[in-house]
Amino acid sequence: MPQLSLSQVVAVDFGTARTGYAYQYKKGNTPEIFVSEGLGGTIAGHKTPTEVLLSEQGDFRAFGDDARTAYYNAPDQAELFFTNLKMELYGREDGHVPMARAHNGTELPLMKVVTAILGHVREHALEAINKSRVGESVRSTPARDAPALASCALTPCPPSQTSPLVPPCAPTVCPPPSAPPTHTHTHTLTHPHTRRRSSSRACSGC
Amino acid sequence: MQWVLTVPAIWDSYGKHFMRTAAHKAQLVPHHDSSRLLLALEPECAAIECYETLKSAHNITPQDGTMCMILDCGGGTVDIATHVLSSSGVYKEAFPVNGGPWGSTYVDAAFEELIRAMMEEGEYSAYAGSSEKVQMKLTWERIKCAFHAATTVTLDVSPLLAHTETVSTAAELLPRVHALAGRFEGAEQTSVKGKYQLLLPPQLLVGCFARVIPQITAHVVRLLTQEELEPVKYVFLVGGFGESAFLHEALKAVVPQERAQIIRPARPGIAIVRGACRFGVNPMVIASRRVLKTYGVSCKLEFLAGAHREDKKEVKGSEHFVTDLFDPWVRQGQQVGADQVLCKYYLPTHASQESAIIQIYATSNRTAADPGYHVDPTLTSCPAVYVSDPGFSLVCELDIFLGSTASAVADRAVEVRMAFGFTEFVVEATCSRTGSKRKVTCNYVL
Repeated sequence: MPQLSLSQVVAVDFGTARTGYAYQYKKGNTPEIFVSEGLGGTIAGHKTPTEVLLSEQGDFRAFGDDARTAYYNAPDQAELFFTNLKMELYGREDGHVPMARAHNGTELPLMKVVTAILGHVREHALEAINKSRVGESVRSTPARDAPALASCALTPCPPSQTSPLVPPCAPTVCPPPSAPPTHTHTHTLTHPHTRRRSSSRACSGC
Repeated sequence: MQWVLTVPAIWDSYGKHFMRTAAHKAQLVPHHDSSRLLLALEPECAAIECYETLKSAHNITPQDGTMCMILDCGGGTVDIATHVLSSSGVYKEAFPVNGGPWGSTYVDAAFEELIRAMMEEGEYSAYAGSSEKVQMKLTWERIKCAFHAATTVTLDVSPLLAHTETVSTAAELLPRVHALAGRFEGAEQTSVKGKYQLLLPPQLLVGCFARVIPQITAHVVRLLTQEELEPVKYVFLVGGFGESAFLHEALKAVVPQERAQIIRPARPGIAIVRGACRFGVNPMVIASRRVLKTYGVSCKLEFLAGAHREDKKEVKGSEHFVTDLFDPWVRQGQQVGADQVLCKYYLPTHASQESAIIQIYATSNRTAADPGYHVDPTLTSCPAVYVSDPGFSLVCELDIFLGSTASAVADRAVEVRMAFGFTEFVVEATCSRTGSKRKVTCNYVL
C-alpha cells in the first residue's frame, strides 16, 4: 500500500479543451483543496483553454486566453500559437515523432510543446503554493525520490502450490509480504536467449 | 511534492508514456519512472469527487453496491463511466467506459456558424483573427453554461460590429439576422436591446445544442435500462460542458427522479482536477479495476502433437518445444485489486541458457480471454493461442541473467510478479540464484 508522507499533492488536468490544476495540503485531518487561478487570463476557479504561445525559438511565451490575445495582437503572427494539442495523442503508436502544427503552419515536436505547458503549470503551481504558505518554503526543484508508493514496488510473494512438470501455476493473489519465497519449482520454460538483448522500454538496474 | 496527471481512461500506452516523459522533461519529477508522478484516470477522479459531493453537499452516505454514473462532458466527447460506491467510499469500476463525440465544441461550432452567417465573407475573416473573437468566445462560454430552454439570450455584438463595414449598431445588424430565418430556427424572432445588443430567442440557441443533446440523453436512457446498471442511483455531470444548465434540464426531463438523481456538482468543470488531487493523497481509494485487455507472457512448453501447431515446433537436440505460446495472467474484463500482485515462476529451457527474456503481451483475442483457456494442454478447454497471432502486441520485455550454467535448471527459476490493478502496470522479474532483478513500470495497461 502506498504510504505518502508528502505534505503536498498537485494534480494537473491537462485537457483537450482546457487545463487546470489543484493542490491540497494534508494538514492533519482537514485537507483543503485549492484550484488554480488565472493560469492564463481565465476567470478564477475555472480551467484555462489549452492554448499556448511559444517564441519562434520554441520558448514559452503565454498560455490560455493570454496566448490567444498575444498572438492576435501581434502585428505579424510570427510566433507559434498552438491549439487542439491533445487530440494528437489518441491512438498513436510508437515509432514516430508526433508533431504539433502552429496556426502559422510551423511544426514543432509535440513533446516540446506539451513540456512547455507542463513547465508553465509547474511554475504557476509552485508560486501559488508559496504565496499561500507564507513562512513555509516550497522547493522549486523536483524533490528526490523517496521510497513512497509501495504499490509500485512489488513485495515478495510466496509461490502458490505447484506441481512438478505442470506448466505455469495459476496467478495467485499475493498475500502481504511475509517470508521470502521458499523454492518450489514449476517446470515452465522461458524463452532461450536468442533475441536481441535490450528493449527501449525495459529499464535496467532498478 | 506529489504530482498527479490526469489521463483519459481510453488512452493506450502511448499517450500515457508520452505524458510521463513530458512531465519528466518539464522537471515535475527527477526521473521518468518516478513514483512522485501518478497518472490518474479521468473517470476515476470524477468518481472520487462525486462521492465527496454526495457526502458533503447532499448529506448522503451511499449504500454498499449503489452505482453512480459519471458523464464527463468535455470539449470533444462525452465519456461515461460507472462506478460502484460503498459507505466507506471505496469504489470500483462497474461498467466499461463508453460515450460518443457529443462535446461542447459542436455547440460552439453551431454558434460560430450563426455568427459567421451574420457577416460578409471579408468581414468574418478579419473578425476571425482578431482579439474581438477572443472576447466573443468568453461571452459565449458564459451564455452556453447559463442557457436553459426558456431563456432569451442577450448577446453583445460589439465584437462583430468592430469588423462590419456597413453596419455599426445592433439595429442595423438585425435585418441580416432576420434574413437567416429558414436556415436558423427562430432567427426571425430576434430583436434589439440598446445600441449593441441582440436578444436571441430560445429556439435559436436550442438549435445550437441540437447536434449533441438528443444523442446524450438517448444514450443515457439506453444505459439506464440495462439490467447490469439497475443499481445506478446517481448520474453526475462533470466537465466543462457539465456546467450547462440546458444539458442538466434535458437529462432531468428524460430520467425520472425515482429512477436516478441527476446531480450537477457546484463546479462541474473542476470536479476532475479536485478528484485527481484526492487521488494523489490516497491512490488506493479506487480499490479495484477492470482490465481492458488480456495480458500474459510468451513461453515455451514441451511439444505435444495434436495440441500444438506443427509450424510452432522447435527442435533442440532430442527435445521438441512449442514456441510463442501465450500464458494468460489476467483476462479482459477481470476485476483486479489495486494492490493485488500476481506471481508465477518460469524456468530456463536449456541447461546452457544464461539469460532469459520475459515478454509481456496484451491482446483482445477472444480465446485468450476465455476462462477455459490455459497454456497447459492438459488443463485447457480451448485451442492453443500464440503471441504471433494477429492482435497481440508486446507491452514490454525484461531481460534476466540466470547465472552460470553449472547450476541445475531447476535452481535457476525466475520469479515474475505483476500488478495490474494500479493506473500503471508494474512488472518485476527476479532470478533467485543470481539475484538478477528487472523492474519496469509499463505505461500502461488498464
